[in-house]
Amino acid sequence: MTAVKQDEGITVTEHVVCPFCATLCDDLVIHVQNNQVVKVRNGCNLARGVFENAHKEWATPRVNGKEVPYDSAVEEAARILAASNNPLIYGLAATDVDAQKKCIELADLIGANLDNASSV
Amino acid sequence: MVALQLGGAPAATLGEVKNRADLVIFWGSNPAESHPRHFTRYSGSAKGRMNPRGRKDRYIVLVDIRPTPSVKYADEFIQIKPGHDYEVLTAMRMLTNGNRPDMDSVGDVAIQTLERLVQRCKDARLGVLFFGQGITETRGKHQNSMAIYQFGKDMSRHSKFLTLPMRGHYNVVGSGNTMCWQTGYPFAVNFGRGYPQFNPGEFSVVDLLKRKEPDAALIVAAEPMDHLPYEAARHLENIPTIVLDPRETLTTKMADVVIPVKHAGVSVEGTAYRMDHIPIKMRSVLNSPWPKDDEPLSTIIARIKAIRKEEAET
Amino acid sequence: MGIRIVNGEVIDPAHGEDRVKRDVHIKDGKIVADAGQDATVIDATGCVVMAGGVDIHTHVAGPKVNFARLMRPEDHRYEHVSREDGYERSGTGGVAATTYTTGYRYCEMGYTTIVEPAVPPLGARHAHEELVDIPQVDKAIFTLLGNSEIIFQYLEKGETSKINEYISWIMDATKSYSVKIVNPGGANMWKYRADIHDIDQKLRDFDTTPRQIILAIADAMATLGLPHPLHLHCNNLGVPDSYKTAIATAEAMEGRPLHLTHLQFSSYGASGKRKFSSEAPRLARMVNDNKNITIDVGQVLFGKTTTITADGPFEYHLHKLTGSKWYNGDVECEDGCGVVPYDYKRKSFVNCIQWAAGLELFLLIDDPWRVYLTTDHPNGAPFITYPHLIRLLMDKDFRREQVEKISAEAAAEIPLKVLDREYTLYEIAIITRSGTARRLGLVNKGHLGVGGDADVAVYRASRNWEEMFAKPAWVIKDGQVVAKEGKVTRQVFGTTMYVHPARGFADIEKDLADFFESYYTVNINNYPVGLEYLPRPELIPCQVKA
Repeated sequence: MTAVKQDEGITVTEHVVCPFCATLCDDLVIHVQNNQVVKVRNGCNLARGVFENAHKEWATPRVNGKEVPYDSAVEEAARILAASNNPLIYGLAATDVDAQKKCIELADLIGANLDNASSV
Repeated sequence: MVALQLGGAPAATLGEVKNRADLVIFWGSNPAESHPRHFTRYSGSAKGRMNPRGRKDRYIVLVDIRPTPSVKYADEFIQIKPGHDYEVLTAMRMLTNGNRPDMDSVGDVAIQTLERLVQRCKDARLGVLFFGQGITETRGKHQNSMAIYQFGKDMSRHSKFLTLPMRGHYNVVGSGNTMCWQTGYPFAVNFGRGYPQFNPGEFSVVDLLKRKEPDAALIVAAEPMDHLPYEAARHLENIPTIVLDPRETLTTKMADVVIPVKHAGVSVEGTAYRMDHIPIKMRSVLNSPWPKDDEPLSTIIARIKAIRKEEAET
Repeated sequence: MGIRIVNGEVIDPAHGEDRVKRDVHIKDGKIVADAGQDATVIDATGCVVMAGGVDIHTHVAGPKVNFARLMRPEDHRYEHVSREDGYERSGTGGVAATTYTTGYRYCEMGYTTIVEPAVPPLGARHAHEELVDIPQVDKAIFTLLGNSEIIFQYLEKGETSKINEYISWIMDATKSYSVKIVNPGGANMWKYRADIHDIDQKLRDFDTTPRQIILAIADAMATLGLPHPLHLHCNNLGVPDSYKTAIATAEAMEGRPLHLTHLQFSSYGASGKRKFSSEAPRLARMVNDNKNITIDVGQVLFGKTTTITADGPFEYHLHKLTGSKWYNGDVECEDGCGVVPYDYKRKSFVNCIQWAAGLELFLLIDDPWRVYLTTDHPNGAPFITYPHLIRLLMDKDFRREQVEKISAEAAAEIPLKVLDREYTLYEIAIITRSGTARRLGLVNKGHLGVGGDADVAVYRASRNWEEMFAKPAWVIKDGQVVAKEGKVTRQVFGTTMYVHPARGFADIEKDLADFFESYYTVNINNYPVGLEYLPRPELIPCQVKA
């Protein structure tokens, strides 16, 4: 199993997979303190960028620019898609397989167009 | 992708490159900047079963339209005229099949240079041609990839030879695979008729948006405002757009609905596919207050079913 | 609430029941003695009642199957399942169908269990991700080990106990049910564009032979007590004189249990004007004489399909022969695969011999408990053709009509032309469920005895066997009606069956760490597939001999 070491408030996780490019290096060692990545071992510059900036600029739930409770944002999304005659679902390339499966299920349900970065 | 659909390809996982490749060609790819550790882990200095000395056991060729930072890692750099990949590849196929083009050079590359390269491929224990966006996103697009795969298949009659795309986004291969096993197609699918239909050029995102066809959009873990041509992306400003993303982006800033989610591989575990189609389980190192993105998607699915049911009843 | 199926004729070969008029009681997902007063009654008047079908060998999930889907957009264009027809999920494909479509179509033929037989360890995670998306049936995978460089290294040193330990570890690391060997050593040689042509030929990088590979793995599997024995695709498959290799391989086993898969593809000789002939009668004799051997046929049927196999060199050969699309996917340290579309034609002498050879195996192997119905989906034909194949076996007049349609030159040569045997319904039940379940070691499947899983197919009796088996009147999965009149009525998800063999034969931890560090590109800590990939796991116990 992955060694997760706790030392002076720093959690070290080994064998971490880098979610940046499709090289998918899986030997990173990530040091985390106060829910921030403070050190990335084995990673390239791009990997460091992903992990060291991961705690910054988190998105917030919003509708029309206003912050709303999470469920309201989800409800509004459902309303928009249910009312659409020709929806587009796009993306998928920077998330995991479970989310991709759900995108396809949703596209199937609402008769959407579905595309990923392969076509760009 | 279209090229694979049309003809297939000789491929392998990257460990084969590590263990056996003695000739590696990068074409239209600048791994030093786009895939910085590809070289040390798989294709350049990686040591393997038949390559115990790593870099010393491989001959590395870079083919591109201009010198890039990757040149210094190569034994040979072949500069070709922009937009002439197809011609150069066709000349190489001719040479592979025993026909010498009746010209001195093609795409600014001397035929002798290509002859030497083809001979190296034929003599290789395992030859590998990696190709990148420099060839798939320029004029000719899938025709260029097709020419690469055809070259690989022709060369397979003489030596063990692989043609492998350098894919970009960390799980773009997963998105193609998942779509393929659920719909039969790797991208550009339309469910309008109740079943999947495939037509790149019609159902591909840039074409759809340029024609202003979608009347609503759901963007999941992508940055169309940054990555798509503006004449396509700007249609998103005119229709209700929903974005699922862990972080603020140009796209979340213009979206009508923003649903924050955990960051796959950073704040939640999940499966991703490497460029050679090997799936790996990503780990989580940070906490996030938001759910994993399949959760709001499931809620949306359930809500839409409920709305449909209500509509059917009234 | 339970179900009581009344007025039907039960065919349950596992209990020797042949068209016995009795009720079948179902409750809580199991066959029971009495479903109780409140049970829903299904009136099966004019029907035969069988256990749900069990397919022992069908390529439905994993990396190479997905490449087959990818490469055949033209196949999906015309074949699809639509939400507008009431299915929960749409899909495409007649030959290499999408996952949901695969589950629906199996269910609609009365099948309730399927085995994906050829997954390289590095593809196991992918295969399980797909299995999650195959509804209506229980599922399992076999792991490919016949070209494993880890096993080759241990073989060179004669370290048998480490092979046992490694196979136990890899079964767990891939959440697999059993071991498949495809062209032992051949996929490894294909990494140098070579192949293996004899079971005693040495590999290039390793001091071992197919014979040694097969025996070592078979013995390890017996030691671990895996419920299904070695599942083997022989060397030299698909070429003239392949039957000699099949016989040599069977003899090499010296009585050990063996399942020879899609034996039809290994049943060719080199006699006749075209130097291509059926040696199915010889192989059938071999099977009849060796009780340790079972086979599935891998029947070829005419039409377009896609070939998918871990036998990389064979697919390259086929690509050169046909000029068709070709995908090759070598897998580091483990195996390889190839994908080539193919069209079996009645005008082709060779295709006709192949078609006949499969039927000859069915008709000449005496014991139906040792021959199973497969098309090596989709290699010989897509699985949706099973009802047609059943008719070919049960109706000799229909078979004769079909022989008249094939190449006259082939028709004159095939041993099939003199075979009059007709399969009975009882025998069909054996080769499609009871026999396969028994050989897989699935004690709760393939029968309708009390305690069995309530997976049941009710077929409306007809002399047109093809129609009868294409559209069962009812299909029950885990005690619920899931299809009626050949159409899915309820989407359900089955289990994924796997084994967890004992460990402790040897300490291989450091060996594996070193091997992964030296030759793999995936970190060993990120390699094993955890149980979280199996949302409905079903652990099948190993039977270790005391």
